[in-house]
Amino acid sequence: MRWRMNMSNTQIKKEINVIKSDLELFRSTGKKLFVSSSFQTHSIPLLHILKCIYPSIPVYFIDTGFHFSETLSFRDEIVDLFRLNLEILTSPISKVHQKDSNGRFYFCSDSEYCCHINKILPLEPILKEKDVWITGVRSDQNFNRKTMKRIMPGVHNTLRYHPMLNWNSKMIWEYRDLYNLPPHPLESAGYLSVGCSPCTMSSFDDRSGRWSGQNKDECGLHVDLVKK
Amino acid sequence: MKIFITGGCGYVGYSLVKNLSQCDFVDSITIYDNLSRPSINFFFGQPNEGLANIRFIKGDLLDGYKIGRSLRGHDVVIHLAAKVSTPFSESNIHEFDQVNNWGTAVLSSEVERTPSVAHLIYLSSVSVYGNSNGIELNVDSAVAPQSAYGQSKLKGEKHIMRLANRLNVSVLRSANVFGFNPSIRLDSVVNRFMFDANYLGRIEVHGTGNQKRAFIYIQSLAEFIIYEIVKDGSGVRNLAQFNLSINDLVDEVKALYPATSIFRLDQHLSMRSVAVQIDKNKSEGEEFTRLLLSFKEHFKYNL
Repeated sequence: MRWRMNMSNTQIKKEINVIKSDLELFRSTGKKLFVSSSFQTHSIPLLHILKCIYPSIPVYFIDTGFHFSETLSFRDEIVDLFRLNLEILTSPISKVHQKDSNGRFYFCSDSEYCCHINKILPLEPILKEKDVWITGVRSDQNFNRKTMKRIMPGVHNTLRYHPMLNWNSKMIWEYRDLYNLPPHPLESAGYLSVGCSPCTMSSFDDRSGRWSGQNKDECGLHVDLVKK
Repeated sequence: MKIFITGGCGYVGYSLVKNLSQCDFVDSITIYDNLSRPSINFFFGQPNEGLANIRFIKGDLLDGYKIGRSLRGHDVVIHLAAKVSTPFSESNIHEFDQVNNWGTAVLSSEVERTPSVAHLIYLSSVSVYGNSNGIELNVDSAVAPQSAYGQSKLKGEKHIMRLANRLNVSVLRSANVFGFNPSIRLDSVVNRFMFDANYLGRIEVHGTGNQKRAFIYIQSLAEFIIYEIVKDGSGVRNLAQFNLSINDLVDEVKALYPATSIFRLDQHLSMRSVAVQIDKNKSEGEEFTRLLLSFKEHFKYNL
């Protein structure tokens, strides 16, 4: 198989063992862990690894209300397949109160604020309850993520744990291939990175379809919720 | 049975609530509406003779918090609320997206969180097909909406259909609705032609007039929706009774109002057609003429 030329079983096992020992260390010290996931194609290997090591770990999905319906269906498919312990977070602000002075949703005029009220506000209470936040960010995704560390402080006295930081898109693809993990239904249409529908375009160039044309390549979860 | 209706004070809602309130299987009807339309005729008239308890909640489709609390304990949700199509105008495309797409997403999420709801019925539109290109469409025909309205209704359908493995979901693609009730809309072409012929003595036809449209009578639409509740089904259905070109419609109106002047605008434009396969047993040629005659009787004055 092609993946064997690039990423051996041994390499994968080594990666998983490192994650396993990290999780054991966190848990042995009584830390409360959770993972957040946007349920994109490239999110699935981390969820697969975690469900093998720590099946009951809470998996938080931030339902911004602007997701593609395909993303929500894919989320449900993966939750059933992996038997995940899913928790859904929503903004405390109803959509009727999420309009700018012209009556349009904020994604039309202030996408930073839109992300803030739909992603950061729902997650913040969880950060106050938990100790370790696991996310699937990778350093090859953008400049901000290149500067991140595998374990680093987050806000509200949390630790941010980034087990996939040194993986790349090729490794993700190979892992999916190895375990025959399903793709997001929009991947074949060019949505390699899928966020909220209004701010995501089809693009076969990894994350370039996100907030395309704007000076923005992060939603804030991995900027505002990092301890400065 | 406890029924929750979004947009229940509108044109379709008026006839639906009136009919539903007289069904013996209905215990209560909750009408959730933001009263965005200027007409409030829903609230006036003879006291309702139905047995069901009627409750009204003023609320917005985008207010998930309020919908979530209001939905509790209901068995059936009928989603009528929409930003409706305005002929020849796409001026506020975002509003279609806001209400018909994201509003439906809000409702779907709240239904998902409400275990009592066993059946979700969505009033969509045959506009999701786009142009029928000379054939009569059925539910297996490809969808290719040509307008912002049609696109937003199709996105709404996706949000609804996502719940199909959890509860019964019905997507009802309605044709152009016509006929009188006190919450009548005049942006519907049949209603507009009748009103203009009766009171202005003139009607305007845009394009060649050869464009076809599928139509359904308001009372029949209400009955179809109730039938969908009774049979407790799931799936996608087209609701249409008649296919007529705009020129056919002009002939029908002219037969009732022979002195009417016809103003033909933009005659060079070939407009898109939407014709839908119709069960011939349910619609007869004379039926449309009879319904227009009945409509005419509702005008207070004949000028």
